[in-house]
Amino acid sequence: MNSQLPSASAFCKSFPQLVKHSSAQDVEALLACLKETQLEPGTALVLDGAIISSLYFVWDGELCCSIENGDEKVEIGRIGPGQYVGEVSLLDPGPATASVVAESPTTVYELSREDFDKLGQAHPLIRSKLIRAMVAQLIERLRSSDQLLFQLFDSEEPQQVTTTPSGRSDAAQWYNRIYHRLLGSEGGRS
Amino acid sequence: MNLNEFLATVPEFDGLSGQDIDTLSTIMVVREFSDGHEFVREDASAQDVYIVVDGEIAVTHKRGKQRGFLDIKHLHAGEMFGLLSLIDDGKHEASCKAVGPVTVATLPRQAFKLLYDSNVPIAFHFQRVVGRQLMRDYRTLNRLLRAVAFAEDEENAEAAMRSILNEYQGPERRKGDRRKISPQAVGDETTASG
Repeated sequence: MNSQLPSASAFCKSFPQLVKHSSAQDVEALLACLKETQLEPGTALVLDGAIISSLYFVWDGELCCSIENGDEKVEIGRIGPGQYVGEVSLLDPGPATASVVAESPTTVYELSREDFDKLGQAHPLIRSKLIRAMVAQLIERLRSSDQLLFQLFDSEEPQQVTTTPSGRSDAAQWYNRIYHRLLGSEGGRS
Repeated sequence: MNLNEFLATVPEFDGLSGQDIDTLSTIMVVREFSDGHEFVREDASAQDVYIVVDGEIAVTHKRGKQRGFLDIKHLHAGEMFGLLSLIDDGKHEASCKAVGPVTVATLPRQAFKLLYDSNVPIAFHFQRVVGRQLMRDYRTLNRLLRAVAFAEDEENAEAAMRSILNEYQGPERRKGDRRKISPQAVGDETTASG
């Protein structure tokens, strides 16, 4: 195993939800597939719209998530230790849904799709447990963001929200709150 | 009807081995139900996983005491529902009812849990099915939120927010699991009872 990698117990402490179905041996096998990457402030880990092929576990530091439209950029949340980025690469490969850029010196551990597939061939149960945990967290995040949508949707007077005099700034606050829940950057981590 | 052969034609089960299909078909129960039978009730705990064999199932969401029901979508042969709630162990936030006589194959909760915890290929397959569905939700919501974020003015921001309400069908609004989203199934209000 790479000597730069954390111990199994430290990893479990940082990502408790992700490994809650896994044994210490499972985590050791996972750690053996990870690669450490150090990011300087301003370094992009993921680019909005680009195909993403790895999952990244954030070990320390802070990253800024933003969406882009031409030259316009909108920050939608921040993530830090105990969170991960790029689950799309394992669940349903395709383009990234936001840019993720280091705000401070940051350490992430990378699990490439290729190594994940190899892990699955050697240890199918571990792969299944990881996906199970990821699915559970994604359900939780979508459910949380859905609740905000429901508040609007089920309101007897939905116009109250959409036609306030503050207009655009009201909309900005609203989508920011939903984005925070979608990213898991509001409330509990990992 | 040969359930084994039917399951092998269900797109959601692509990738499962013949042996896994055999396992599923031996523990699933096929039954006919009459018009209006309620398989899943909003606010109730998850029970079973269902696959429509023949007929039509309506998925609806309550919109408050005075505002009737939102007709979210209709399911047909080969479509599955109930899976997400069972994996999540959450409550259903939509109801699923028969529209006319239907034939449905049921995978009982206990059998599903046993398979999910013990049969790695089948568990992984169900997880991937749900994972893809969730990522589709995630991408749809992301796309719609972007429209709000980059709206040019207040009027466009409002229109974009309304689009979210009309287009987005996240897991809370459609606990019946789905492969396809029918545009005409979104946004129609009904006054169905139950």
